[in-house]
Amino acid sequence: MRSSGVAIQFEDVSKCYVRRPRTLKDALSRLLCRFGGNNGSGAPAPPEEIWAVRNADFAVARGETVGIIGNNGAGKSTVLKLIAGITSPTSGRLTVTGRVASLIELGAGFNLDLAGRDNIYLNGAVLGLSRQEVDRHFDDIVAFSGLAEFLDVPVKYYSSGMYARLGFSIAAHVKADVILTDEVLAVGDAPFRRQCLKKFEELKASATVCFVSHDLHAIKRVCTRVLWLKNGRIQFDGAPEPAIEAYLGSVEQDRERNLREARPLQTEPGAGRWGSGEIEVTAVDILDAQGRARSVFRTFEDLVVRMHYQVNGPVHEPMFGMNIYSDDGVCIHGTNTVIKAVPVRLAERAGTIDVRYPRLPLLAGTYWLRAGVTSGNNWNAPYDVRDRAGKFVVQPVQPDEGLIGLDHQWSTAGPVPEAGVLEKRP
Amino acid sequence: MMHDLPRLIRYRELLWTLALGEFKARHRQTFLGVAWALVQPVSMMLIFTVVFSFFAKVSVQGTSYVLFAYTGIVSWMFLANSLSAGLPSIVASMNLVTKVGFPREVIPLSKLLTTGFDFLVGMGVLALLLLAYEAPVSSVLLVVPGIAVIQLMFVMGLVLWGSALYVLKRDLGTMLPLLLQIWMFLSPVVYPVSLIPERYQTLYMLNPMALIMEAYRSPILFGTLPSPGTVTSAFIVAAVVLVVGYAYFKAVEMKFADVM
Repeated sequence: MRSSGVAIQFEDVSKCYVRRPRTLKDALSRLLCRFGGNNGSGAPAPPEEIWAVRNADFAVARGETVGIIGNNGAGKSTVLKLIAGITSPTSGRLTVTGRVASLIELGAGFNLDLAGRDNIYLNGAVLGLSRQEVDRHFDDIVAFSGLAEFLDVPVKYYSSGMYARLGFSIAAHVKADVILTDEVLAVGDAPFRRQCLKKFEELKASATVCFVSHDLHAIKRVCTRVLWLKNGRIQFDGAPEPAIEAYLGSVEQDRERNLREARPLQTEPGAGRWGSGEIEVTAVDILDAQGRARSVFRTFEDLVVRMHYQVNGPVHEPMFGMNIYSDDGVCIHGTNTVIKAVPVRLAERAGTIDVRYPRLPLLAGTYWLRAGVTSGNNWNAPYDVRDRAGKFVVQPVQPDEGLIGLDHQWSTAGPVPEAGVLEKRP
Repeated sequence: MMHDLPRLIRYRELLWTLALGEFKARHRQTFLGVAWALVQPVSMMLIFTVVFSFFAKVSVQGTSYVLFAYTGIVSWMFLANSLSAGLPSIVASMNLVTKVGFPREVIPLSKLLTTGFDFLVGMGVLALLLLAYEAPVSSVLLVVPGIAVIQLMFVMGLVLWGSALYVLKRDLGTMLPLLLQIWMFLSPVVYPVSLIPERYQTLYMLNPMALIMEAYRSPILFGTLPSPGTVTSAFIVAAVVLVVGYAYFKAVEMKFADVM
């Protein structure tokens, strides 16, 4: 394989999906409208055009690892499908040199009734391998998948994890010049994911890779170049860091705009609310350090939760509380005015109370707020408790894993003591 | 089309593997398994023999009705089964077509390998029947594989064309059983061409399947070579259908993933 040269070349490529009326009924109504005088009401909708990719013009050199980022529907998958030859451009020219392995979906084309063993050959053939090539890699594929004992079981009895593992193992052993992946590294359990990433590092050393992912630190880690797509257009083409910055900036703007337009977004439908109602939490705002309403934050930004309340009746020893929950319902933090011994002075009719989190250490994810007010510290008979009273998102800019960015340092403390040294010590 | 063939050849492995997979799955999941290749034409032959030979007393130019009908049925089954399996094949492989790039004709063609296998089994049974009925066995029978190739070309062309059209117009799936039924009764599957009134025979023989069945029957039942005119017209029709069918397939192939 040559180490230089162009592997993928897009020359002003556009892709348009057209939804045409395809049934006799539509065709007839179009016909009737055309001849029966168009009075406006029965006018057929013009064919709906969706430009998935517009005027894409770029070249990928051999050996590059290109990340493609963008919102859902931005055209990322269409770009991959164009490269894979699954669909053809509406206009422009597209050249791809070498064998393409599309890992767009793992195990695409598995025959569910066949055993794992047969599916290795089938999927290998789908990806363009000859029987001899599959034979040669068979043991590696099986070893990598860790499914040796399930080889003779029909794939329909596999768990989804096993399915994906087998799919990845086969795809990873295709000697391809161009590898296309769409979120496929996020499969299976943690050990297998590590194994996948390791294999992927190996693969990308010898191939050109197009990597679609929403996992921005994975993009930052593996890619040498990033394309940011928005509404089918390439907004940015360059080094990963600035591309991701630009993308995140745009995402934040969009989300903030949506937040402003979609107010009040305080309760999700079906979110629980209970209490006797002498005092109500009418709304919960999520603000940044400057007091602007925001819903998208980055790790270590300041965040302020502002609870609006309204007094409806006699209130005794009011106490406010709030919890932050992760998307899967883990309570990450809970606090209230009693724990913190904060005196609560209620306004006459309505007012606000703030909780400030300086340098909020939450990592990427979606978080929910529960807010409430009760009497004393008795949450069994509260005045008002609102589940999912607010929601915010933390962008994946910190590479650490988990929920909280804990402060930590790594150090290597000189040479490691030789084996046995520790035991000899008194 | 010229550069499509080498690409198709590179993917011959997939053709085999898909067919083999289907064969294995069928073998594993049905009680009779591969025996279905045998049961289907033989039982049809028995039914038609009872109806047309015992009840309706159709005369088949002095040969045994069993042989006559069986020849027609095996050849008809190849067409009908190929169309029934081949036409919906692309749509049925949607997850493959929208996720991986490869020459799409591999999918319908792999169906022909399975139905082709059934056809060969049927032909094997025919050979046994010929021996059992002490039919004239001569070197004339050597043209039968040639005729089978002509039929294969015809079927291949239809399946390629039909499977592509099926993606764009799903009505084909509902229409197909009806079309096959009509076509079967307009073909000399279970009755001889001589049953058709003289003045309609030219029209009748415009049906390629009529040409192909006549071409099969001369050597198999009567030990004579089929008329060169029949074979030539059958070949020309089959070649045109194949070329047009494949060209149509390749022309719309790239739309498949967009439409699904």
